[in-house]
Amino acid sequence: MTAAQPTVSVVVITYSRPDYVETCLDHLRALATPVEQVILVDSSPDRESADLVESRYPEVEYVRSGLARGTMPEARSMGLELATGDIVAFIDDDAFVFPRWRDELVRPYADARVAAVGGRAINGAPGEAVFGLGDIGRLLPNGSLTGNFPAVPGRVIAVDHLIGANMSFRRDALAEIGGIHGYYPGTCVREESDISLRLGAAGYRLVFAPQAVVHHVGAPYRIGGQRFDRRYLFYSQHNHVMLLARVYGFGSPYLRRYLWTALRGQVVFARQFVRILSGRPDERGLRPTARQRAIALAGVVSRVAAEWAGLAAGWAGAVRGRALDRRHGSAVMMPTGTVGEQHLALELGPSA
Amino acid sequence: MNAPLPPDSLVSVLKLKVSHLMRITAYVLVADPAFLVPSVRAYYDRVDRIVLSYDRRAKSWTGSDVPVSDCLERLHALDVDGKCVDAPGDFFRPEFPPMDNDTNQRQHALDAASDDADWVLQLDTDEVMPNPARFFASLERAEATGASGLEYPSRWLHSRVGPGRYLEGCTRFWRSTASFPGPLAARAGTQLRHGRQLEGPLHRVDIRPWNTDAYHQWDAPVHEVVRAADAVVHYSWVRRDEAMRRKVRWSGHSEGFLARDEYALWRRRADHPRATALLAPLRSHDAGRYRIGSAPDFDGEPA
Repeated sequence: MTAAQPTVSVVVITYSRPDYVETCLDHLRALATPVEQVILVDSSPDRESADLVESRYPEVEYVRSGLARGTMPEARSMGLELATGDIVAFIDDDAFVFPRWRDELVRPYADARVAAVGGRAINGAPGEAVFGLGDIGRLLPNGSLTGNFPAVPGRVIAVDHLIGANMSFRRDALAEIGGIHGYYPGTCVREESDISLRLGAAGYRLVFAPQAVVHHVGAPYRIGGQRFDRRYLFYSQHNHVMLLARVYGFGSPYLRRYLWTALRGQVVFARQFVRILSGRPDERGLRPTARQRAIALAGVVSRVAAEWAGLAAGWAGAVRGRALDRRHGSAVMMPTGTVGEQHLALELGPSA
Repeated sequence: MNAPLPPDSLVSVLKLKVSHLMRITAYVLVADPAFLVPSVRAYYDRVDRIVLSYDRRAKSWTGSDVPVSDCLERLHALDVDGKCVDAPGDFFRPEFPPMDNDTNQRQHALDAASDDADWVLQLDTDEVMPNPARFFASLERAEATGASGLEYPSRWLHSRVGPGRYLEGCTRFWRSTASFPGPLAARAGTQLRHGRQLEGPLHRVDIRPWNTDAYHQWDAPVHEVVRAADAVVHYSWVRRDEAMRRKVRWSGHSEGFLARDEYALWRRRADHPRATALLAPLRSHDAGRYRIGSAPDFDGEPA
């Protein structure tokens, strides 16, 4: 911390969602206490968001990443390079801050041991404020992560990781751990957890401030596929294996335990499989037709296949990820040859 | 960057230490002298106050007589710092089921112990912490993560087999298992639901990274892992014969115990511990699976 009242830079990364960017920036503009810096890192193949910022948000620093889709951590890293605030906050382009967000997010930093503060990302789902109250942002001993970031614990609590839609860090702490790890392919799931877990492993304290709220509307993916489809499942497992191996090493008990946890998780699918095969009537007493059974079975089998493939492929990804981490220490620009107009030949970290 | 910390290490727990010193009290339900002194002595130095809750007519929740004055004498003898506070009440209410009386007495005790406290220990008097430092490290973590209660594992002991050897609950193939009779610490001011069970989020500690208690959902989350040797030792049915006869009558669960003739079952297992352990793989969990394990002995116990 460099001052009693820390300055705040907000980094918003986006890919082809100008409508959401507009609402996101409007909310940032409406904060009760303005932030000192807003940076928009745009990986879109078109100029819609660029034109929007140019015409309506002169206070926003616009960066055209020139990166391909699926490069969220690399885009975050670009924003971090430009950030000047004591605190660097990251929000998604479909996360709309509440008016007191900045004040509530900054408050826990009064404790010098706190290096990261995240807040609620509410979706408007029924019961979300109480669901998973005891399991907010945890890394469990079995290697899995819990979310439950819409929950309201009633006080600032310690957590192991934060949600990418609403998280902030001391800039100097991020520098000390070597910045942001790149290369979390596909849907980029777990890339934000990488930052949190490395901070925790370095001895820093991370907290969840329930009054620092964003409305996370969950905009449609523009990077291909849908939320929670088979591709998402594949990358969930793939990137989770990568995450644990990159943060804790291949010999980590977390990694070993997670493989067993993931296999135990298949029990649910096995039960579904047996239930469907047996053709037992549902709660309404209706027996599924042969066609319905075939479709349901295909669904279960494809789900299992996606997860197992992700688990297996994650090892190769982890080897590559660890090699990149050793070489660069932080996020790297992936070779893309993308459509960006101003391809920023950034290569961050010690080797830059 | 520092080297990553090994998971579940005490260091990683301690780094989450809360900024203020927690004020911790305890309540004790005064009724059963067995293991009472080692149980309270284990945490005596770490709490500010201990509320001694008892029925002023020395009645159990079922209306049977309990040796309250004997227990109070033992407690006052160990209370060298004057931390114990007597809190008599009328906790045998014949119009209520025993479990309701159990919950009612605990709630009164918890409320009394909640004054000027952040957390209240609610161990039963036959539950002994073998490693209080580990227990209180978990409590610090429960505080940091905003939990309302600390679910800490207990090893459930059935009977003493020999010096330091006990018949204890286990899995089908004789692995250690944890039981969770309820949170062993509750945030001050918490509302109890049933016995020690409470409303609100729990910090759940177990002896393996996956739930080991067959009475919990198989995928119940485990937030922290401790060694089985650090689990609280619950000398639940480690009693002299006469005390066991009494226990099945005064317990909150006495109705079920009497219906199953639990005393006769206990006697048979205690008389044939090796055969009981050998048959564990053939038993259902409800019928009781046991192995022979080690646990500390205490002079003069069971009292």
